[in-house]
Amino acid sequence: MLARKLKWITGIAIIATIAGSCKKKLLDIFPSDSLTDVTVFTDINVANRVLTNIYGTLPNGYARRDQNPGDAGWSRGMSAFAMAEDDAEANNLAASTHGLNTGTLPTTWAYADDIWVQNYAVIRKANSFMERIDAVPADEALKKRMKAEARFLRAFCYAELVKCFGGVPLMLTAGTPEESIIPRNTYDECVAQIVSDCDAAAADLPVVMPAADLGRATKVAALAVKARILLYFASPLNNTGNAPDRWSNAANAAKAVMAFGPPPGTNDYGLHPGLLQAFHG
Amino acid sequence: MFQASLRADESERFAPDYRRGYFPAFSAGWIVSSETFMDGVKSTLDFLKIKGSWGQLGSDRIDGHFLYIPRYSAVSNNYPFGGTTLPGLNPNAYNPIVNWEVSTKTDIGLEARFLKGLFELEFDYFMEQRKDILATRATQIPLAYGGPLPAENVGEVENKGIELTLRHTKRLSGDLSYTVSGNFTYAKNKIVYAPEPANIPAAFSVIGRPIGSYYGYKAIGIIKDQATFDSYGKTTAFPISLGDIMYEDINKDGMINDGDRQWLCGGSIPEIVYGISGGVMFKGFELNFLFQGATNVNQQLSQNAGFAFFNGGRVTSEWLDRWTPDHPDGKYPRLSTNATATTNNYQIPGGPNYGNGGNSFWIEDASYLRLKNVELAYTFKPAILAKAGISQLRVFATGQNLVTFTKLHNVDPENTNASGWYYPVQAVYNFGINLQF
Repeated sequence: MLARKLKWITGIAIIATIAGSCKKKLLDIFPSDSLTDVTVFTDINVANRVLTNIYGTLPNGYARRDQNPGDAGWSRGMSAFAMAEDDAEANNLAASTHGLNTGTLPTTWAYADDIWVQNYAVIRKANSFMERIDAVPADEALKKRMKAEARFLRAFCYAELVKCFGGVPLMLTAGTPEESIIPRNTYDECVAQIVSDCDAAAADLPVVMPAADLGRATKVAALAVKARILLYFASPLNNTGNAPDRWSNAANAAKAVMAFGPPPGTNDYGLHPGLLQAFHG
Repeated sequence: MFQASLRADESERFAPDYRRGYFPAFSAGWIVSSETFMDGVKSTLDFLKIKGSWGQLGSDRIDGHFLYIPRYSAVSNNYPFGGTTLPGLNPNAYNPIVNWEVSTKTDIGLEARFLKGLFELEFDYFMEQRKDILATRATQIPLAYGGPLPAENVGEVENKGIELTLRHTKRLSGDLSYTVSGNFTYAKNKIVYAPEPANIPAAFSVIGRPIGSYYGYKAIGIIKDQATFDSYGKTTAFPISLGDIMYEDINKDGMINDGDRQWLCGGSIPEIVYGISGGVMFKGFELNFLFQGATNVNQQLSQNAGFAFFNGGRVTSEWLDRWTPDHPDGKYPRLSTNATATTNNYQIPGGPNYGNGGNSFWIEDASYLRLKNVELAYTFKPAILAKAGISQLRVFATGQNLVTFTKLHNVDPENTNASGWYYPVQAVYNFGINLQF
């Protein structure tokens, strides 16, 4: 009986060994139609395309017009709501955006959802990028700038969200689905996060980008987002106690932006020499 | 008899640490009738075998090979910098811990033959549990997650039931013999776990309910007169009038809306399937038949099969028994030319998009019994044929789907799409001569 048992065990052991020693390589197949994480984050030029994609995920649809519901383009942008404020007049009274004016939004109104989804998509990509970029072998200064760009994009999207919804859940890592089940943070916590991201990004971003990189986040863009969010933070809606330091913080942040404006600023962000051409192209 | 096996499977679809799955299986059988203590009943019991098995199997049939690898897809012209639009890389959903879907099967059964093969019996009890079924937790994970959700090993279903086969064969004389057999399968499946939002109302949850169940609003009758209308008194999104369908207000808020959706009944997969087949042979004559049936099955009629004037179509005859002021007890609601989804009788708005008819009124019992196959044949005696140089001559007539007993309207009970847009199974008659030289 014991011999039989031993035979069994030996048999199993042999099978296990064969299975275990099977060429591991055989199953280590990688896709040839897409890049893996490992390939992407070993080459700074390839990693840069991931950063480009984060910019490409930004809410667009800033065209000031009304489109049909379901057209993803317009609903992503806040400015579709221009029609619902003083900026534009609704010419299509049946447009769902006009419902904001008339106060007749149904519960199924899905556009707020789209703003939520689109900004969080940028936030997740930015978090993921910031977690990986340090490991890429490349010039440290370039990596620092790229990371600061991602940080700016995160701050920008949180600013858009906070503008719409007040306090939102702060996702600061690209975690698992489970890890995203968190409660809303307060408005104050969100503002603090945006300000700290803007400060960190501003420290590592250049004042102006070289011609080939025009359109990337700059130090001044980061300072501008900070100034705007601090202004909202000081406004009566969010500053019921009218704390004067919030107003002075907002003023100081705005002044920091103006330092790069027309003289007496550095004029890096001056006015267009022919103002009319700015509008006529 | 005893057998055991252990499989170790590896699949390239999973990450190295999750690649291997071990799947054991055991089976045992015992021929009771060959034991000495059974000698006493040997004259009646020819054969008796008891068998059982238990085993696990893994499935790696998942969408795509590389769900576990974080991957990026190229996006051309993604974003412009300095006037040049550059390509980007967009991250895909991935699940690093994606793993085997495991199915555990238990079978217990017996086989028996009595009285020199006069009766045969086979019985099986089976239970299958499928665990770690890949599903996306779209209703559980907040959109603030910010990316496309990967499939995760979360689902679990259970399927159990019995199978029974009985056979009786008898030769009455040299010329006359007959055989009858019946089979019966009862299988009940259940969703043990599926990702659902935490606040789903119990009445609407799929957990614990059969796969493919019907959900929606429960019709509780027709508003036959003003008194019924007044006592019903529910608000719905569409105007209702006499002759319309009433729905159950499960949360008693005076409105028929989302909160009143509930599990209605099982779906179009029958729980019970059975068949009866038989044959008689007398000299050269042969008669064979097969009845097939199913029960504990429902179908939700929709579109042309259910609704009057749907899509510019006509009205089917069951609508003769409709509500009218003079016929307030009609089975069907009042006739309306509006057969779109935006009427009280076909769909209550605000519900999920089940297509038209998201309510129980249009669900019918799809049980049936059908004469699936019948054959009458005569084979001529070789002795007569030999003179004409013919080796074999057989004349036969067969029919398929000749008779069906069902209460289901307008569509075929074997048809799983109840919109009335497909051909039903057809009755087929064949007459033939089989001649061989």
